[in-house]
Amino acid sequence: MKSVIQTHGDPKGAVVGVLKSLLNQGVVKAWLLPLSGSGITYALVRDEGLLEKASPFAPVMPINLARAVSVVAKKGGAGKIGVLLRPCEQRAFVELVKFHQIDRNSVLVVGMDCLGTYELKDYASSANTALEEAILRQFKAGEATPYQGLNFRKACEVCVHFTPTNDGGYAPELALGLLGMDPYEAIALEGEPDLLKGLGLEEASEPPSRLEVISALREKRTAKRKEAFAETLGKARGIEGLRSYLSTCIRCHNCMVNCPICYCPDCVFRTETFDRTTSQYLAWAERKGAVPMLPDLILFHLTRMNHMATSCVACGMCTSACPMGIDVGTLFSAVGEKVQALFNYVPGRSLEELPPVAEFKEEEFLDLG
Amino acid sequence: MEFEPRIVGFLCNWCAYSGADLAGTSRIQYPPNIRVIRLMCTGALDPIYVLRAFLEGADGILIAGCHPGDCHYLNGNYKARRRVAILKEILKELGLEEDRVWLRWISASEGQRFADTVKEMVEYLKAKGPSPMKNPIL
Ligand code: SF4
Ligand code: SF4
Ligand code: SF4
Ligand code: FES
Repeated sequence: MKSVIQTHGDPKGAVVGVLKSLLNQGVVKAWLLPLSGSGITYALVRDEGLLEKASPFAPVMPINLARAVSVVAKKGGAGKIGVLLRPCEQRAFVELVKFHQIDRNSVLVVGMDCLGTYELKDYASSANTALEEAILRQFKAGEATPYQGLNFRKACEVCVHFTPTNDGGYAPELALGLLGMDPYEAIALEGEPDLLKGLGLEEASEPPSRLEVISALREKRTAKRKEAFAETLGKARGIEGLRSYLSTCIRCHNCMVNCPICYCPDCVFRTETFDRTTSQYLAWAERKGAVPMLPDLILFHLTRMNHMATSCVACGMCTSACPMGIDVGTLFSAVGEKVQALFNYVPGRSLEELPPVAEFKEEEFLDLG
Repeated sequence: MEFEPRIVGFLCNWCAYSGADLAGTSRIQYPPNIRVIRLMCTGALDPIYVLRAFLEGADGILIAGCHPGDCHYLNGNYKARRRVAILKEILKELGLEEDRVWLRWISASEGQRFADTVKEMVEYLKAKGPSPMKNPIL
């Protein structure tokens, strides 16, 4: 069902009202969302009063929140937790459900349109409310222009999945529609009829301009994305290109730790699997002349790519987390897109389609073997 | 001196490994360029071992398992085929010469096929030259 809520100049207040109502009705037991205080903190909020501090529109993403969902709702069985997700977080959520890292029935998702987010350090050193208002004002025309002197995160500049609903695929229980709307007047809501009725809302249709704004933005972004991906694949081409792309990597593994898809607690790079004895290291150095220390840098990135690129949601958190400013995300997203195309798979599109690494067909890749 | 490619073979215990054995006991000639690692099933091969072999100096990788339908563990070879498809696509996109990775189905009785595959691969890699992925430092 579709509906529209009037915001009377206070979009945040209107959304907080919805959150409070769902908490009071007992639809959710708590909300997992960003709170503003000194900066942005994600929290699991039980106290209704604290919801006043909810900051649904702050254009920043300290972590991909789907990771936190998999922390609180892995096993489930204790009622529903509501969670506010941006589209790339929502897509990571869908992947994590399919990888059995989230109990789907323990979560109620509120999705939202997204025009982009800033790097955390840029956000933290700026006038937060001005950034937030500037971006809210841009939804109507669907033109994302970063605040003066700043840039959006690289992933956001080329993001094509910026709405929470997928044609015929997964849709969150509730979706906040901002594109093509003036959020200071009204926000479109789409979701389960029971929920909307429980909120006292009537069926109402969104302005037709909303869909036009969405498709115009998608077209623009698709072109930009193609260009950026081609450029990155050109740069990282061949072993020399790849080594130079990663030349400043200090092997801190932050890109992996912050990737929502890299959930394995016993990842081979966190275990002693590839540790050797001193005499083995010496033999290795003798054979090769010299061995880089710490070893296995290229191996780390290529292995990670083999393990997870089929489900990479292009959220760019790996780039945001890299202390050396390596654009890991564009590389993984660009390769990911190609690998996903082999299987006609779009991460986060549907709960039914299995991730490519979780299934196989007897009649496929017949030319390989 | 002619370039002698080094091939690392990941062979399934139940088929290709026995096939290689048979090639040996039947005295079928094939070039000595392959070092064999025995797996219990191709489905047990993580791409990390293929990548590591390349980075450590392999010029080619042969992954050989049971014919479709004959895997001892029912579907390990189908899973392996998907992983190889993903690996090859990634290598291709990064310009890392995916044609150095070969997947072949070789049964325990196909000693000749094993020998022919190694021969064919050695010739292919000789024409291609050494892998650029070796010596990945300095
Ligand atoms: S990647 Fe897309 S959905 Fe995620 S924060 Fe950026 S614009 Fe929003
Ligand atoms: S690899 Fe990077 S862009 Fe892809 S899902 Fe992980 S953090 Fe996001
Ligand atoms: S976060 Fe950056 S420096 Fe750290 S391992 Fe990843 S690419 Fe290397
Ligand atoms: S047992 Fe030979 S490939 Fe699985």
